[in-house]
Amino acid sequence: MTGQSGLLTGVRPAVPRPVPALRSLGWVRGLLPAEEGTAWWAEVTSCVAEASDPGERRRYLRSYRQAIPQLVWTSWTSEVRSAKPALAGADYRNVKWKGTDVTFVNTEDKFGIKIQSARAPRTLEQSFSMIAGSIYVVGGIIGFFVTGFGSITEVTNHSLFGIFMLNPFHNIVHIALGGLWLLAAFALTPAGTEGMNVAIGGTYALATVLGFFGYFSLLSIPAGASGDNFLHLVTALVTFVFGCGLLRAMGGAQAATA
Amino acid sequence: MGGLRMTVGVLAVLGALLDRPDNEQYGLEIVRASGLEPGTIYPILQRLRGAGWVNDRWEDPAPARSQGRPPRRYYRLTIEGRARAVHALQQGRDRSGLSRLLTPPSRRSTPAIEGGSA
Repeated sequence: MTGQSGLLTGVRPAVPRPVPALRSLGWVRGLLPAEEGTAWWAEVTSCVAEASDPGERRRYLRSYRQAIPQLVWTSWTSEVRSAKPALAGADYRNVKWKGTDVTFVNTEDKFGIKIQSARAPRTLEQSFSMIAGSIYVVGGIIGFFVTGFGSITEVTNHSLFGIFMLNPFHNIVHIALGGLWLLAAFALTPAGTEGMNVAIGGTYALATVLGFFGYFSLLSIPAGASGDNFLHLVTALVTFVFGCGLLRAMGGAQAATA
Repeated sequence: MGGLRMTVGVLAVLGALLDRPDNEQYGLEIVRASGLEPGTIYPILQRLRGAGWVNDRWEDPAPARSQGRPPRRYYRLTIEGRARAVHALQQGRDRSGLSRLLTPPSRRSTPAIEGGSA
């Protein structure tokens, strides 16, 4: 093999020119987990650079293009599969959840409820939960000053800041979701918080869609592009970006590229 | 088995790696030995890596640069992977009549594993 590569270096210039077609594959890196993306790219570069003739190189590039779905699937699933079980040193298969062998399972491992003795700095997701939860709880309480306690589930003329339509039930929902958020921020592990944020973000996304099509008169939300629906959409998006570990994944990708 | 499904592609890659189990092979070598396309092989190696059958190592960039090429990524069967690969290839051959298809062109004449299926 060394003989062959020696032959190659004899033929090609010392500095390998980037193959132009290779650039058409660069975007794929962004679809993969950070480290995997870098490794895959290095492998593609190496493989294509060493292909002996243009035809072979073209065939390789085509095969990489065709294998993109497979690649993305394998990259993400193998990361999940190779993740260590939350129980350090224990194998899930040997744990009888409903049986008696769960003495060593603590709440942190099983439900993501943080052990008070294990204090750690708040993660970005937990800080986000704290802020979003505070805003919604306070918003819910202020909402009660606007709406009072009558006509709980009816369409009212009450509004917050003149654009967000409210009724008492809407306030209750805000306080409940905000409460869950605060719970996630202060009582759950980082992973537990992310899970809660996925759930709450999903709830807001669903509320946006249902509200937009006018199914939420129960919450006094007008159909169409109203302030409420817009706020729910923004909340859902911000939650998905800041609350679910997305930034960390992308930040990892950028750090690896740099 | 670590959730590894034995497709024809996986068997071909294992065959190529078993061909020279003591040597490390880089991507393009496996491509040539197995007769598969690199895009197909990469996810297979990913899965083999995840299941612990295969180790990988990046080549030292300095000698690669002096030869004017990007560093290669070398793969080698682990000890466990080697035993399992032999077993998997054996089974793959027993199960189907694909033995000729499963044997990469480079090793058709010299079977490293004596197939019991014949």
